[in-house]
Amino acid sequence: MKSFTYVVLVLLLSFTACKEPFNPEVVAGNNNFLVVEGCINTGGGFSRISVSRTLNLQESVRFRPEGGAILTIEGEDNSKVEGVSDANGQATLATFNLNPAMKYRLRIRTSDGKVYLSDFVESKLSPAIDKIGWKIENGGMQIYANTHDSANNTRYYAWTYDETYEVISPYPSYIELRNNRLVERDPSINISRCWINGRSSEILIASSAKLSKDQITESPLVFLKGNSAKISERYSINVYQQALTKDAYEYLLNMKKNTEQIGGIFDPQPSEISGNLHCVSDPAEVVIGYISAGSISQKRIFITRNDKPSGVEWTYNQGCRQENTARDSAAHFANGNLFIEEFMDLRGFRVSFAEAHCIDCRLRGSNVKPAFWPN
Amino acid sequence: MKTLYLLLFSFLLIAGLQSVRAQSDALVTINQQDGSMEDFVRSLERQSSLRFYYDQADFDSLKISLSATNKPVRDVLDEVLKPLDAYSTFYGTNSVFITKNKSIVTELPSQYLPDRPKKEPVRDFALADLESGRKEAAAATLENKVYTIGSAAGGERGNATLAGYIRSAKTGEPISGAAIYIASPRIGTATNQFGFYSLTLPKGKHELLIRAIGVRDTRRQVLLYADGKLDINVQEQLLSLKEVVISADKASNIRNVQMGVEKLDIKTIKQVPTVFGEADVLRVVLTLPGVKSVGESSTGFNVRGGAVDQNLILFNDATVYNPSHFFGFFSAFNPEVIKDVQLYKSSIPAKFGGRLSSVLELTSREGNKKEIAGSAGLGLLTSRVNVEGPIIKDKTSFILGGRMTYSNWLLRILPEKAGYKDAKAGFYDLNLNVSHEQNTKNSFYLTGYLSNDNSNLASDTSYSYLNQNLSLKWKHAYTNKLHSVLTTGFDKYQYQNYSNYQDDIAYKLRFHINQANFKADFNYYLSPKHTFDFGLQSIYYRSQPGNLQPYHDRSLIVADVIAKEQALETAAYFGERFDLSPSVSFNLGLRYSLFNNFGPATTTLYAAGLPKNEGNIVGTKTVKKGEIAKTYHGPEYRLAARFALSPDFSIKTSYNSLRQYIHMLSNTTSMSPTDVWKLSDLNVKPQRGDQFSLGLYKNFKSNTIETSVEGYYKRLNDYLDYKSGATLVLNHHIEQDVINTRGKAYGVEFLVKKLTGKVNGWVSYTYSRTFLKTDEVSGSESVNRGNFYPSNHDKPHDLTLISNYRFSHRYSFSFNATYSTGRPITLPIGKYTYMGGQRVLYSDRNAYRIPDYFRTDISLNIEGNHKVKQLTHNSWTFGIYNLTARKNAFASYFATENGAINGYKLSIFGTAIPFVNYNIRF
Repeated sequence: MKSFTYVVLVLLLSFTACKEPFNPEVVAGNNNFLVVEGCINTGGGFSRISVSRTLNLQESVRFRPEGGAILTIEGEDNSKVEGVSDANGQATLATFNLNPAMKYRLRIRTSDGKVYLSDFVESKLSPAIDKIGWKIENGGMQIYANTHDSANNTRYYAWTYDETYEVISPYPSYIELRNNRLVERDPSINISRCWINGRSSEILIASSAKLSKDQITESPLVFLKGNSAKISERYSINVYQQALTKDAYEYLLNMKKNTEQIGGIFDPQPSEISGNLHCVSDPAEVVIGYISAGSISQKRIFITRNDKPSGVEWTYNQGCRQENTARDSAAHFANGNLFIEEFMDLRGFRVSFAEAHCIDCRLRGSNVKPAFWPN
Repeated sequence: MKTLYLLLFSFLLIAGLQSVRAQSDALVTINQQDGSMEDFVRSLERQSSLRFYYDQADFDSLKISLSATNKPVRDVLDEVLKPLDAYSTFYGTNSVFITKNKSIVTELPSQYLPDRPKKEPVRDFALADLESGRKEAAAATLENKVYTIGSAAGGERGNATLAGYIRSAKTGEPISGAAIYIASPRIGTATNQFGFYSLTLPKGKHELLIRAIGVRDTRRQVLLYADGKLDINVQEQLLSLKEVVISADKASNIRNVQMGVEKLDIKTIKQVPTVFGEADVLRVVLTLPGVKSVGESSTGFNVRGGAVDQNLILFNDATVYNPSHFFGFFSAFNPEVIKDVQLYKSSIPAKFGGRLSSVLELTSREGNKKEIAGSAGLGLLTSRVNVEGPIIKDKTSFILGGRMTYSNWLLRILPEKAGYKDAKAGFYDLNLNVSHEQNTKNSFYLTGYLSNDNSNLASDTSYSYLNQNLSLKWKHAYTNKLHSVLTTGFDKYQYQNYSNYQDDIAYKLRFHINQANFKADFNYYLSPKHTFDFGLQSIYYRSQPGNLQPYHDRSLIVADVIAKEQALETAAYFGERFDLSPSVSFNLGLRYSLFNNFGPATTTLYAAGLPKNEGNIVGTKTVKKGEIAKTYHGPEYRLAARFALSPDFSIKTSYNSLRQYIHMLSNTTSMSPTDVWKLSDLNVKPQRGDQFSLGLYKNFKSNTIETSVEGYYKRLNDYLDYKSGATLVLNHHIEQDVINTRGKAYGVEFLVKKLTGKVNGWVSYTYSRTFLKTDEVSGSESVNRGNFYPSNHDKPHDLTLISNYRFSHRYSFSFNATYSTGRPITLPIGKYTYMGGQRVLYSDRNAYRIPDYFRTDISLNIEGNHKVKQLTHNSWTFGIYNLTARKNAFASYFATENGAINGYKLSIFGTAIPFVNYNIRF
């Protein structure tokens, strides 16, 4: 009887375990919708617009650029500014003379001859960023933005940012293995001080619509963990602020919610809302993205290691260890390691080495100091 | 011809019988071996003065061996003739007629001799019977006895009315819907729900025929002289199983004005195989045309495109909010206590209201009024016991049923490494019904119901919930024409989910809704053509939409309590059933409902005409306790018409409108144990719906095969759907996350049903669609650009076969097959990069479907032997659920693995599941 009982139980408990691959035709199918991201800059600068295509879920590539698309910004007064997307899908349009009081739209002709058109959008001028600040919380630094519009006109905001931080390799290197021989390293090549660049990847938006004043206080942008490499030396963030229309804000809000969860049975139902771009020849075709117009304000700040509190959770550890071996055996350790220096002890000629990323910072970033970097 | 001749002969010779008596006592001595009839008669004639008359052909092969000494002639004749089914009739002074099969009546019935005074013997006979009738406590149980009603003095012409109750001889339960009639002229009636009948017949002798479900066909001989009362106790039908499920009113689907009404009795329900062999009331309801669910483990059901919260589930007039156990695997109703289930999906009588889609009325059995009885069942996961019996014999009875799972115990003995160490499944339900018949005019009914769940599926959160219901009903008859039912009750649904897995975040989340009901329903039978029903109903709601508390002192959870809500829903209704002619009938009903949301309440006010979101808040409105915060009211129309084109063919049409003031908030596909109910308030409007339907009904083979086609078109207004990413639990501004949508549903349902005979069951096919639409065409308040989109339970094709084959009285075999289109889902169809991050592109809402659903089940039901005298009656059920082991998808989900997003589908019963069930009756 007991074994019988077990059979029953296994049956009962197998409810949760019955899982099979499910790849409906549509999911496996080839989907190739146009994705347009960018802002028509009416504040007197370049307009940068990215054109790409959607990918199938199973593809391991993250981004499929759409090169060779002809982009035209058209004003209500029939003014035109044209540009072409490059191999990375990026187009830069020289929109220096746009009128903020005018409405503009974007026309895209892709290389397959299809024409896409956005609605005319009003220009929303971004007020200045009052402050990019940071505060210490949860063992890290929360970077935030403050802004306001005394005219109470802006209400919806979006931010993106570029970040750059300096890293210093824990070990200097004086020698390198070349043609199976240890030779002196060229000291003019900087491999110990590098700068790593990053971009925002979250949708950062906020609204003051519920407030009596059009003011955003401490809207979170990015959280830096205390022991992160980003604040091991010096960190810089350059924040771009854009003002949105209500529709654009809701479009991004929905996109943000859809990305946070992927549909299971007890998850809420996801849904897409359409942006303001349409395919002219096939209005039913899905086009992703919302084109806004307006000015972009920006602000850069620096954070240095001196701004950090002390403590173990604020200490960056790259996880490096220096080791050594007989100089004759150096070649055996060449894979994945770089050599630091030669020395001699009781065992004879030795050579010290460490993992490559602990020595050559170019594996992590660029060894060229950005122009804006102090000292 | 010969008989006629003899009769005529006797007619002519009507004379004194007394002299024959002496002759028949004459003593004779006979001693004969293998003699002929002729020898025998001659011998008798020799010894007496009698002359014998008979037809030689009847007796020519007869050999008579007899030895008698000095015996009366009559006795000798009896000894010889009785085995031959022959009779001797003494007539006149010395004549004896011997006839085969029939005896000769030598006297005319009294009617033919008007001037002649009644003969004493007849009188004696009648009196004697009257007396024996009294001794039998007035209930007629014998078929061949002549029951005399009234005295002959009242004259023998004209009509008289006979009335009384038909009850079960075994349990004393009233038999409702029993037909009682005389064959010629055909006059009859049917008993009402209390087993009462009233029949007007010509005075004189009649044979009353009684037919009813579960009852042996029977008859009573009645000599009707005047108005009187005759209670009839009838035997239950035990052997002729094919009679058991005959509808009391075979052609009711043709004759009833209502359409879209499905009634299932528990015997039908029990023979349908279900998972683990637990007879499941709601699971069988799901096999009816027009009833769907999103998946097989969800007990929530959708009727004709309505949402799961649009079904009013009444258990003996008590509202049950959550009709399921263990995350929906089982329904929370004990099949041993249920008598029948009735689903109204099209024309909903005016006495029901408060939900848009359907009314599911579950009626419990009344307890045995004669003796204590009971049953017990052992299943793999649950066992059940019920006991019933009289409290006051023939007046008051009770039935007490309980059901409990022991899978919790089983889960605990699992080896630890199985990973289900902390999983538990615990639930039970209890039913108590007491019925009391004070007198013929007053009856009382008490129903108590409790269902409790405390389960988790090896997750951090335990879900416990509870339904509690109590209802008290008083049926009263003012006159034969006016009846009332007063019902009062208290219903409660609550849940308390908790997690004490991790100290910091240990919490309790509670929700409850209570309602107190009062209903006064009246029936007035003005004439056979006009019947009225009217009444007043009131429900006072009080709910706590959410209360989050830390589980203990160590928890860091901050308490969050949503303000309580209270409201009063009142409705008055009036309905008339009106028969224009025997073939044309109407049901006209009007219900007016009034909903008041009461303070204390603080409601957020939003700018008119703008979406309800944070940005458009213009203020708040606070009302004090007892003040009205918001009132909604409106009429609801319930109209139906029936045109019977022939006795077995009719056309029906109906129009219904309904209003619903209470909403279940759920944006998950399936009913989940965290769903809360919300009362309409300033910001959440009541849902409104209306439905037009048309149906054709045709019966074949003397009403044993019912067929029907029903089509409907339904509109829903202010149906709640949810914004993407809506938060429904502990949301202080729920109105900001809901969207009012418009819905439409249409469909056509085909049903062929045969509930009698060796092969019985039904086949139904439904084509139906359900769509929703938002008013906004863009922005967060829109879904699919404001176009119509299929709702979660839009399953266009649905084909169901439920069948049962009886090999014999003891063995029957059941087979189910069901196919339906997969339910709609929203799929991720692609990915792209936007604002620096990887995003998922979803299809339009509900643009795709999970794979189609197909399942077959079989079961074999074995009844124990049918000996009446044994301690217990046993029965077994063996079966296999999902015979083809098809992995029907219940849900799909997508997970990111190595940068690629892969889809998976989950099935709940993805294998063939054998089951066995054992039942005992005592």
